[in-house]
Amino acid sequence: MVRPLDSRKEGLARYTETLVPAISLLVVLLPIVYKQPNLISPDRYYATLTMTLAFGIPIVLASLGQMLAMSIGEIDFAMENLVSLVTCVMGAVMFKDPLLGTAFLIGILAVYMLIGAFIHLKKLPSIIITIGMSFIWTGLAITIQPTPGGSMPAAVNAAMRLRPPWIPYPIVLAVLLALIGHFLMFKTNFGILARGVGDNVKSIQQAGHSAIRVRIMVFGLVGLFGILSGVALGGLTTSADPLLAKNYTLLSVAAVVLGGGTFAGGKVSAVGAVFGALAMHLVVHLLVVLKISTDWQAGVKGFIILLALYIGGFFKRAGKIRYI
Amino acid sequence: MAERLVETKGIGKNFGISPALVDVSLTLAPGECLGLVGHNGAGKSTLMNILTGIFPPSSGAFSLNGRLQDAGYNVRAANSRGVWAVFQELSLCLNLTVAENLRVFHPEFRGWGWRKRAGDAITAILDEIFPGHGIRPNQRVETLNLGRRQVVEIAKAFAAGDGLGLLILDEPTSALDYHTARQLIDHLNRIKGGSIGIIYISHILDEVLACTDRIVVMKDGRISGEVASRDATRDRLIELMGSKSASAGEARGGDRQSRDLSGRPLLISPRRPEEKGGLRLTLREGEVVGLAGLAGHGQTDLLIELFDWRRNPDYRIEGPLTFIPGDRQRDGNFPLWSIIKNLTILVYPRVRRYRIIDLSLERSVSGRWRDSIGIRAASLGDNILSLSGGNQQKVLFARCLESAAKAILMDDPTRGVDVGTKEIIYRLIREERDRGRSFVWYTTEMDELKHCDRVYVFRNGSMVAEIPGTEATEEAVLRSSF
Amino acid sequence: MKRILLSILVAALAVGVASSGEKKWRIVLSNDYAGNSWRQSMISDWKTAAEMAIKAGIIEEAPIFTTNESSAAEQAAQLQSLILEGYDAIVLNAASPEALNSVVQDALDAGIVVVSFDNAITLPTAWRLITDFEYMGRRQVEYVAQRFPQGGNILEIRGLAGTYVNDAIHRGIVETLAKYPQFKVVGEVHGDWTSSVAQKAVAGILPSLPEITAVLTQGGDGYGAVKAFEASGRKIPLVLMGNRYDEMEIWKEMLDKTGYDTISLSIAPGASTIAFWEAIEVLNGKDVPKEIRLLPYVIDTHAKLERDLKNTPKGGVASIVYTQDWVQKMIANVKAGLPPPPDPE
Repeated sequence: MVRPLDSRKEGLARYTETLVPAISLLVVLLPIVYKQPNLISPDRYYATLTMTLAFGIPIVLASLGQMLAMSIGEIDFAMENLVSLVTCVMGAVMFKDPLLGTAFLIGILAVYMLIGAFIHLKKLPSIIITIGMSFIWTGLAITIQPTPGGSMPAAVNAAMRLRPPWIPYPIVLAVLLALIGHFLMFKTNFGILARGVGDNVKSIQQAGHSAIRVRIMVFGLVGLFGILSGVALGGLTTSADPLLAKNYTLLSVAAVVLGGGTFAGGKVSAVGAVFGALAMHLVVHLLVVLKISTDWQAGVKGFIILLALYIGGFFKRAGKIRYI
Repeated sequence: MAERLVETKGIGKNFGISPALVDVSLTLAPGECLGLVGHNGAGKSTLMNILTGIFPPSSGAFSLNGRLQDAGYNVRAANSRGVWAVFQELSLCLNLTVAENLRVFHPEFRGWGWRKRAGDAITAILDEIFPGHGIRPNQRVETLNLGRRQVVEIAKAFAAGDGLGLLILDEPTSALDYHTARQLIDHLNRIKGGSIGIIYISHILDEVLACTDRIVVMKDGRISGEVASRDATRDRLIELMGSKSASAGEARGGDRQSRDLSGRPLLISPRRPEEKGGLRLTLREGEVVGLAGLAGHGQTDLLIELFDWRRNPDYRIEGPLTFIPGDRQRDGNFPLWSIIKNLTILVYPRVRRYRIIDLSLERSVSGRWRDSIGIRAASLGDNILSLSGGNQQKVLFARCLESAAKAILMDDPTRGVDVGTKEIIYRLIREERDRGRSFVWYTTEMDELKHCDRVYVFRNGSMVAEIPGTEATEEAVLRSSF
Repeated sequence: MKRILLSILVAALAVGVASSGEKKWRIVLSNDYAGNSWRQSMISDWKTAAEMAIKAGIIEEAPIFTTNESSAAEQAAQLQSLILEGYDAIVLNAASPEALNSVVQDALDAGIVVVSFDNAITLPTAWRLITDFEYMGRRQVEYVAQRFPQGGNILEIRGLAGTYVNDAIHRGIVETLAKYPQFKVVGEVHGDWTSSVAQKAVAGILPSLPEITAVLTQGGDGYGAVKAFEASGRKIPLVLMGNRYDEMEIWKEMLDKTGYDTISLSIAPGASTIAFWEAIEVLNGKDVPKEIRLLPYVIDTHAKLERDLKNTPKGGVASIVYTQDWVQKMIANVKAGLPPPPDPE
């Protein structure tokens, strides 16, 4: 009797939600493909895609970490410092003493979980705590690895250089990570609770769930993805550097937003974040391909990101809802 | 099964120094449906919060199934002992789907295939209580309108199945249209006499009378009376609630004379002639136009469309307009701001001196409204959320009426507001109307249509009938709605 | 595993390399940072040299790509992109001495010439112009010791924490100071090679310091140090300068007024042009040593000071655009074990 008025709108919304970040990625990718047809040529695609996308993987990992933080309405401003620190731990400690290195990484995880608890108990905004942590991570990194150098454990190097048949390794990893992220956020109890906390902590608590547990787990996972990002970056560069992952914090936030995530309300998309991260990564390639004058590169980079966001958003047009 | 499902003994609750509940004792038997009525701030919600374990009482005790509840009683414990509640301020997570929300509240939906099982469960309940609901379980709640969200909220409580012992419904129909509210009441009447005890709280007294066995009236944190539903009348209840507007019954229909407004200038008129299958709205100066029909059939969409008055493709609109949103928690209040700031936000140029906000001007504007419509606040500098729902709504009204808007769009503004506040709102609308202000008023309460000069009835997203206010009876509206 | 990758890469890029035999070279500068006067000079010197080479018909193009805020991860991605674009040579000012090694190795394997300078990388298979940063520290301490044989208190202004250059200069200072026990380092701040940062840092620590004899710097921070001392009303100690215009200018001012004397030293931004011509030498099949050490450019006479002050734009750094002849001579000298030829005028 009552026609479901929303169904058409809702179907469209779901359709555009995955489409928008994909379009943003295409905005960046298409000009590159146009200028470098090797990327789709049957003989060369494997080597060129592997090279073009390899350094996108650590950004994808960092962005998934950031997505987790943003799913509960928080943000990790220490992401780049954490990722850099992990390369130092891998290069300076893990290489010589795997046991101590593992203990170090577990310690980092524990600190991240503590941050989650702290944010809950003290009701402090994560931005403050994580900005504070960013100095601590960098200080630690400089202490254990005062200058760039070190060597990565061979297993890590090898893990980043796998060459599966037919499909370039970075694409395999990106798809895998998108699936894992999607499963985590949308198929598990944890993911539902995390997004619930992001929208309405009170009702999650009233349903008898422990919000502090959710926050601890979320931040534990933020730390875990940060660590994985550091391991991946270390494996790719085969070196440790206390400032290696500069810009990763803002890149990861931008990737989540480009992927359809919001700063509040528990709205995130793992698949979108992966698309967004790859788009952010490819901007560097686009600059090279377009041969922008060095004086303009920073500005053009910003412009491309805004363009990708705008063109993506152009397809979204959620309707003209405004309130007083 | 114990003889008494719920028994409270001398429960009291203080917030700071002000008592919200004083010595409340009541009982509920299994299978019984108890109505609970009273003004906003009478203590109903406080009592329910205690029963559902959201906070403990300051004094007194209560037992469930004869078992005294200890200090460790919380929401989880309440749920596991069969107590489920549907609150007016919805507890759903908007970014989750219907099925995911069910999982948040009912941990038994886990393991392989939970999504399907949860979806099937909620669909079965929805089909039973609200046939034709049009809700799909994998839909995100934010894509549902307010009425459908409320329907999901109700169904969520019923999903406890056999584990459901005590069901608390706090203003469950406030966002529901007549038809859907009726479905709920019919369902309650069907399950009455079974094993479930129900506490039903509502400002809509006819509903309470229609579905309860017994009605407890609260006033100022105490129980002020108790009557059997079959003996009770509307007026009797209002009298027990101690409302100043006990004469509300007389006022009903009192405004029902037609006014000739044809000479007044048009504020809203269609740019194009009427299309097949849908009327177009017109609004004259000093006119009150009602939007009626089943909830969620396009009334709010039209209001939002009209609100975009500067470049409206369909209507020629003399602005400015303002809007009183339906979901004041989400769209109306600035939750971090004081009452004063909330009230003066639309007119801030007028509370400035040398282009700087003048605090004393702000205070005098707000103070004037407090006195004229009785905003009950300890201090106007307090946070807006410290007010009860009805008083928050008064502030929203004051905000819009203080503005220079020629017309005010209202999205069910009296939802969940007590009778006293409603009367004040009706009075304000009449006064402002006589001063030349116009209103477009979407309401889910048939009673309110009598305040309108004309009523448009919605069906499936468009306006299908226009009825003069004098003829806008429940029957006439329902006839056009189906 | 690595071999498979290499063969794929080489195969992928073989065409581009093979066909480049007759055409003009395409050279690119991968730069990690452009946000200070030194780097701006470096970029403009590079452009000058590139124009010369384009006019002479030696190269086709020599674009510059700069990463945001010296991000090594971003520069690694940029290098991969440059490899795929098929440039003949990549000149590299690296964000990290280690982190780019694996990507640079990929480039070398693909037949691309890679010359790194200034912030050089550590990969021994690439061509490297290594600035003797330790020498910068050593030279400063030796000058101070010569001026004040009786010793005294020293304030050290360091660069950006966690970077190689900062560490190397510091190492040079510490190692040399060990030979002069009459000097004592009483304070250490980070000036990030930036005048304003240095001024703030020095002003912050000054009240707690005894009388200072000399301030050792890393370049870019001397002017800020002088201003901080001036503001505190203390006597201005010997502040070593770093060839920036403001540093040379304030030295000249104080020299004219009070006879204040110091020296100024920094690696010349024109090192980018040495790397540029070196890359062309390598491309032309010349035998060029993999590692060449560059000494910083020292202004130690008043005549040099006058000249450089005149030739340097306001806000710039004293620099030299090296010529192809000079670089060829320098390479020959290095191979013969001789010191580099005198700087071109």
